[in-house]
Amino acid sequence: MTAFASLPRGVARRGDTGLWLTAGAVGLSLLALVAVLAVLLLQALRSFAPAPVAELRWNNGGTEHTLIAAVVGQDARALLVRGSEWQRRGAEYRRIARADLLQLDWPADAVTLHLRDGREIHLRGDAAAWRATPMPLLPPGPPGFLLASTDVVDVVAANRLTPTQAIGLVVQRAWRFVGGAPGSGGGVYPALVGTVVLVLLMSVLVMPLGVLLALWLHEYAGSGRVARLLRAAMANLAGVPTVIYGLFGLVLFVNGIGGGLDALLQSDVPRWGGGGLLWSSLTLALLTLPVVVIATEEGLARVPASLRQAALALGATRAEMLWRVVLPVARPALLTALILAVARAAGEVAPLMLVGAVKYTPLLPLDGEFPYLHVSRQFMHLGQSVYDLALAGSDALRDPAQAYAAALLLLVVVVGLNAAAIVARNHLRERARELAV
Amino acid sequence: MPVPAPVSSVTPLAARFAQRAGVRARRERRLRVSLGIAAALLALLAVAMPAFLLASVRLTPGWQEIVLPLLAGSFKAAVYAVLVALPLGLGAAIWCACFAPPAWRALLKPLFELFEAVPAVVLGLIAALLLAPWLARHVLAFAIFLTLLAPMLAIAGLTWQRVAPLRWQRRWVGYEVWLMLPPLLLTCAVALWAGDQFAAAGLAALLQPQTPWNGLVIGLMLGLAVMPTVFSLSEDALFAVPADLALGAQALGATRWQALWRMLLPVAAPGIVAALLLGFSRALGETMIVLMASGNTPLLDASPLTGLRSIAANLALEAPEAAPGSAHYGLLLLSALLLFGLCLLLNAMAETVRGRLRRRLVGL
Repeated sequence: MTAFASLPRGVARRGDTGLWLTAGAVGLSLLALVAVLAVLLLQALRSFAPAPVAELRWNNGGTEHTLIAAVVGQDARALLVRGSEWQRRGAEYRRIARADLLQLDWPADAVTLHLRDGREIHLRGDAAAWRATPMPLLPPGPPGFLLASTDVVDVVAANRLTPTQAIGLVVQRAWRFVGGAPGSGGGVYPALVGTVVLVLLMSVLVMPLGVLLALWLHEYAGSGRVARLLRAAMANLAGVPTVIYGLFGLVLFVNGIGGGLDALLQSDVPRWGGGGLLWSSLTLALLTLPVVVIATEEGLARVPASLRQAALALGATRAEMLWRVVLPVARPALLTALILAVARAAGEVAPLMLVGAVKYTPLLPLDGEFPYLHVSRQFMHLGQSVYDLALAGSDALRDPAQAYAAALLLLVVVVGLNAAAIVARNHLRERARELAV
Repeated sequence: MPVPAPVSSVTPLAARFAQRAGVRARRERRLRVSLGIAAALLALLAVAMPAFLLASVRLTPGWQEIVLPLLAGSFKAAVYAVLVALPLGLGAAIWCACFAPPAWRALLKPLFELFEAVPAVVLGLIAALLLAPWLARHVLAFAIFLTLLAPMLAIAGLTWQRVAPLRWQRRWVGYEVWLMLPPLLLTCAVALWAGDQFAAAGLAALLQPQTPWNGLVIGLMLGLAVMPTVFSLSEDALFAVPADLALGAQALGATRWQALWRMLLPVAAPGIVAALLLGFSRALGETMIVLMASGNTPLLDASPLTGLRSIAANLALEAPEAAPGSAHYGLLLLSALLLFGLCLLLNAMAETVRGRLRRRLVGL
């Protein structure tokens, strides 16, 4: 019940400054939340929007230059343009002062060729003709520059896009971003695979241990001194900063066990002694253990005592009672625990930086080669990609934009998982209420 | 627990029962053993965590010069974060627990708790690439916003209470948040406009941050990240206080705020202090936001306009490169031990204080 549902006449006109300030706090928090989400969404969408292409003629210290380039930013004083990237992605940015500009056109026949490795080439011509050209292509670039038509992913008539075409292009690019490899205009597919494999491995490791621990704490331990000590330990482990877990993983798993294994196997390259998938998932399993135990214990507490007593009265042993009656009833709680652990693990970056997530690796942890799952390999992770794209990218404009897109993807995954956990938990509560009647 | 002894009888059911007794006993034993192993693993983990830190720590001469600025950086970030998170979180908790209608509460609480799950790296990205450059240009506007915020909201609310007909006021009870949105947005607009005016008048130099990635940015974003923790725990504490107390106070003529301030808050105070301590602990250990948006310059100063480097961010940056067994490694582990101990201490304090709240509520 709300404490202040009514408004008696006597107090309505007497000032309640504090009340208005608390309402303001809610409003401000909600505004901040909305702002964070809106900014993320907007930036992520902007990273896929096609840039208009201009033909520029400008004067630089007496000499005249002409260029066909995408205009990626402008203010009152200058234009920021990106010319055709003949050599390297991100190498052709140019800042042109408006005062130096002699001519600025937006030619209707401008065409942008998107190459497989993320480069762009801008030129004038007929987009349909460029699409139909058989290999090899000869764009008007530096002498000798040759382009295989298989390298061209996309031909866009940049200045003639209708709104529907533009939206279609954004969707197509977003899809390619999720499914593509890094290099092909920066996809996050390997990072996505790395995250999923990591989280699955972590779940396999943490769930049995967490459920057993919860069973022990709730059903067996009672309230002796050992149980109380371990409960306190569990509560404290939940409060340890995540980076400390990463350090623990680095010292114990990577340098300790991994280094020992390498010495034992006499391998000259660090195979286990560098960070890897197995060590990362073990670290995350330790990190999410308190989450699993607390959520499972909550579920076990909601199983009505009458069910246990009935099972025991019918002659079941304790193991049978737990296995056949208590755990099936508490199944939504186990699901909640799993989802919460996965959500926590998917969003965690700091510990992974210490135990095996890397900026770029050509090998996936899961592939067609025996033994299919390579647990000693380093891997890419979605959160780590956000960090690297944002602060250590090679392209000062496109990489941060892609970081927003990766962040949005991560956010959708994690928040979706958490929302699922909330729904599962509500379901559990209703069921417990039904059972208790 | 012993398996029921088989009854000596000749019915087929009893015979089957007797036959399976061995299997059942074995299962019982197996469960007990695996539970014991799980408990032993937990005990091992709880002991190993601090032990590994202690074992590898090495004190080299001059450690203070390296570790103290990091510790100061951690504290600076956490203090600013709590300064942001406490008013927001506690205010929202008070409103949610005491003034919001049940349907609103059922919506707001999961919403804020969902916000707690937002990965820190996402918030760090926004802080580093958007908030920091924007704030560096609008520090004046932000300062004006902070000064104007509370007076504007209070004036708007009090005017509403004085001027609006009682019928309207009754209808809006519980929905005051919507009434506060226009003054909030107005304050934002006024602050932005005034900030630009002042900057044009050449006053910007007064508050120019040394770097865009500074304590102010960290405080805002980390505060936003910690806010759900403070909110969730203090809301639980406030909601657990029986509503009769407030009703009694109101019956004796107290306004809503007086009843809350004099009756509910003192009862729930331990829970709120616990929320504050846990929020502080979480802010101390938070890595990604600080790593991305603080500039990572180890400084010994408390100004919000300079950068900082926290222990957690330093660990994430340096630990992968440190050679095991070196002096550098030892110092890193020393700073980690400090962080670990601080968080442990804060958690233990919060737990003690919360125990007091629980006892107090039982007394009511």
